[in-house]
Amino acid sequence: MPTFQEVILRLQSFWDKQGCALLQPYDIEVGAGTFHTATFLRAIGPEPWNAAFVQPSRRPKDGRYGENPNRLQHYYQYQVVLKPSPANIQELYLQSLEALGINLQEHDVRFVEDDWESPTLGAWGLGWEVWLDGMEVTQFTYFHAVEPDFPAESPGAQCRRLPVVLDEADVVLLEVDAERFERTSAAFVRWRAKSRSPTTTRGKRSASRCARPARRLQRPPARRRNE
Amino acid sequence: MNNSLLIELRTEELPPKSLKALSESFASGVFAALKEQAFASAQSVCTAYATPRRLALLITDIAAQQPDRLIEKKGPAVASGIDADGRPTRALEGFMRSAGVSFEQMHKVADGKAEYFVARSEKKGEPIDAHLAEIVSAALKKLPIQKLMRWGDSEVQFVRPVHGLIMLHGNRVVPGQVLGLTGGKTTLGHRFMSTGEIVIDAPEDYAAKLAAGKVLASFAERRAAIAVELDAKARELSATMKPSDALLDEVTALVEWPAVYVGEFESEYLEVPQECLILTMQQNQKYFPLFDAAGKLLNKFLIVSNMVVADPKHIVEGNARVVRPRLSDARFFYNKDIKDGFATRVLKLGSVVYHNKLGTLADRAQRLGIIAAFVAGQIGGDANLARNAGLLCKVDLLTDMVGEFPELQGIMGRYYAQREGAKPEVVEAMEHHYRPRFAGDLLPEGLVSCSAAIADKIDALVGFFGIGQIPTGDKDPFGLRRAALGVLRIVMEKPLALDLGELIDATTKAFAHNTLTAKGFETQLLDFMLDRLRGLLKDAGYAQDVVEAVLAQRPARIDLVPAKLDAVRAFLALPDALTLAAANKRIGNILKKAEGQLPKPDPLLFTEDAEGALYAQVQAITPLVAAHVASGDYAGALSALASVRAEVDHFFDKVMVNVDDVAVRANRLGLLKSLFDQLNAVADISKLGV
Repeated sequence: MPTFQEVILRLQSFWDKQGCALLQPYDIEVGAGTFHTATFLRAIGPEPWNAAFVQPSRRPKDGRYGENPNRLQHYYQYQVVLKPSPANIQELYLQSLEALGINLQEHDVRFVEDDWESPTLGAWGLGWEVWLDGMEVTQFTYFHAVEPDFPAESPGAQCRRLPVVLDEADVVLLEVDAERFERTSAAFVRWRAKSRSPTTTRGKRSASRCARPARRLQRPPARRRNE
Repeated sequence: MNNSLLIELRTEELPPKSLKALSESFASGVFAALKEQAFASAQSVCTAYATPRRLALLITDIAAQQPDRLIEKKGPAVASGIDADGRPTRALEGFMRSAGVSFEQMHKVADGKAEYFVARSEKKGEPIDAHLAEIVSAALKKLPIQKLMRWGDSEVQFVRPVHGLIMLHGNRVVPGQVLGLTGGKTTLGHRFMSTGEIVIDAPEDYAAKLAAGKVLASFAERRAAIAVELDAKARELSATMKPSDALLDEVTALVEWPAVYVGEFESEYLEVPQECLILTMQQNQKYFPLFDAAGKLLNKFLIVSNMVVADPKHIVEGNARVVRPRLSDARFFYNKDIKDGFATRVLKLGSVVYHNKLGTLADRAQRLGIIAAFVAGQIGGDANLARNAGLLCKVDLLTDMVGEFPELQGIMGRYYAQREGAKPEVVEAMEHHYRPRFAGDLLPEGLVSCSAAIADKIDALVGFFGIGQIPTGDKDPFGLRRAALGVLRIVMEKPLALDLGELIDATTKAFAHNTLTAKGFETQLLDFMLDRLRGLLKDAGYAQDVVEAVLAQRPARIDLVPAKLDAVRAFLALPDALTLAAANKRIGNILKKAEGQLPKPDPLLFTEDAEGALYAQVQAITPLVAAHVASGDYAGALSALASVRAEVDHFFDKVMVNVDDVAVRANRLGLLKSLFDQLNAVADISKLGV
């Protein structure tokens, strides 16, 4: 079983071999790697673009309910962007799981329809959440637009190149011994809390809590997702 | 030579909820086109296959070459096709150009009404190679796909990226391109349990070859296999299962080679209301929950997996690891809701806006209390309990559990109200007031539940009609059609002695002054509801004229409508019915022209025997009809009417109504009016037989 750093190392080395530029995280608080400019800005336009990076992500609303070892409120997404999307992208992705040491013959890996959208970015795409033994380990998206007026391929381009984005957030969680990872991450969460004004965080959170019931009546609540 | 035809489109994982529809549409599209273009024969049979990664179909008895066909095209009428000199007009010339025929190939055909020109041309049969790709592409284009996508740098669009195409006729590959793919004869098996390409040499081998590659290609067979294995596993555990068709379809669309495993969670979670656990297992994880013989949830569930493995340790443990936190969330919500209290939350309803013109949820809860109490008073229920039920029934919308799982609205209200010791009638109403939620749904049971259910719906109807938000076309954002149908079904099917007009009045009064500003909305609402009733009754199998006869009187007591309908139906079977209906119509027309107040008929002014006879008969039936109507014996009332037929006929034969003598004329009109009132005591029988 790989350690947390081994997981990142293996993914870096795997996607490096696929021709990805290995980038550094974006240094602003985000809920998901999609907010990295390497994804949502680079997705636009016809220029080929292959990149991979670890993005620390925070979701303060996650995991505030029952005991849930999978919702850490702060964790690391491994995101891969490939433009144009390779024809064998599903196979490549599965190979990356094997590179992590997951034996695909012993597990149940499935691509379950889950079209993705981020109202904040005005972006949407079609794809799947990938299940590993019932757990969502990756969001696999064929990116289609960033902002309705900003198609993922540039309007005048001859070639239409559609990027594909992989968030391999929870691969880490599952394959690494869950408890060990939790410790690493818990330490990190505490450290963040210190460096940030606690009142702001709390104030924000309760404000959004109050807003909830009103939304509920208009329509069923959207799935909790901040990416 | 005729051979079977195999088409397979291999894709990335298709959306599971639409797989079945995609497959059916694809198969029927291709098959219909092959029939239309005469490649398929009358003996051809089409079998559709669908897995997450492929849409396929096998059609037997397909010709390699179309037969030569005589193509007929209908042109202009002969009258407008040639001029006086017998030469083709411009209209006909245009038609000949478009059909590509000369004047000699035009034939005249009569269809009974007029004579037409018909262009006949022989069309040489063409090989399937020239058409198949186009047929398949056209069928794919017509699939019911909500959002198309593109991928890579290709222009092709489909629901998911495509990777392989088989077009095999007999043992020959049919050339052609579909979605940018060239047809071949190879495919792939299961993503993980099969290696290498699978070569299909004959279309008939497809299912068997795929089975060897661990793909059960037929959707129906796979579904059946899953159902059998689920059942067997449940039996092994002495458990029962209530698999929904939708969930079975969905898991069938998520696997190519199903295997069922048993998962388990800690039994301490069973303290949470089981609906919550069932919902999260089915909806989020696609598991099949298991129950004991009494219908109580067990801490075991069935997983439909896509992998057959010797030791399912990873799969079972992995799934258990996923479901545990979800159950833990459900338990957290439940405990938190209990801690925060239920009935006390009624105070917080004021912070949630229901509609900016109709106030907050607190306003609505107040109204529901008032209306439910009114309804209960009318139908013999406990008005105080109904008021309580109305006040409380929306409170569970504020609970965390319903916030997370909106499907549990009503159900959680029932649990929480029960925990806090509410009366059983009120507890039941928390859940039942939403009923009926869809066509054919159960009705609320007790009278308190019925009162709350009617209040819930009529408050929305009166409110939105009162602010001018009336459903138009297919736009009904507040679900008012469903609400109207709900009220009608409850009142009619229970049945409840509730006057619709009074209900609308009482509801209107429950709203704050100056809230409902639309003019004349009460009449609009009554019309709207009668319109829904019309549809409801026609769907229930009543003939249109029978429904119209009863609804023409705008009945406010919906509970009495079925009896009236049955009576009118029975009346129609009587020999005199249609004559009376016609007479009623005639009388109606005569009376429409009459002006002013009509006098009661005075026997002293009669000049003809026929008048006296009709008068006597009307006098005889009037008390009978009144008595029958009062006792609800509508059939009796209508059959009493049948006895006046002879006198009515006689009257119209012998008597002229519109005579010059004003007094005599008024007296005759008065006589007809008194008859007319009787004829229409139950239904407007002039609508019958139309």
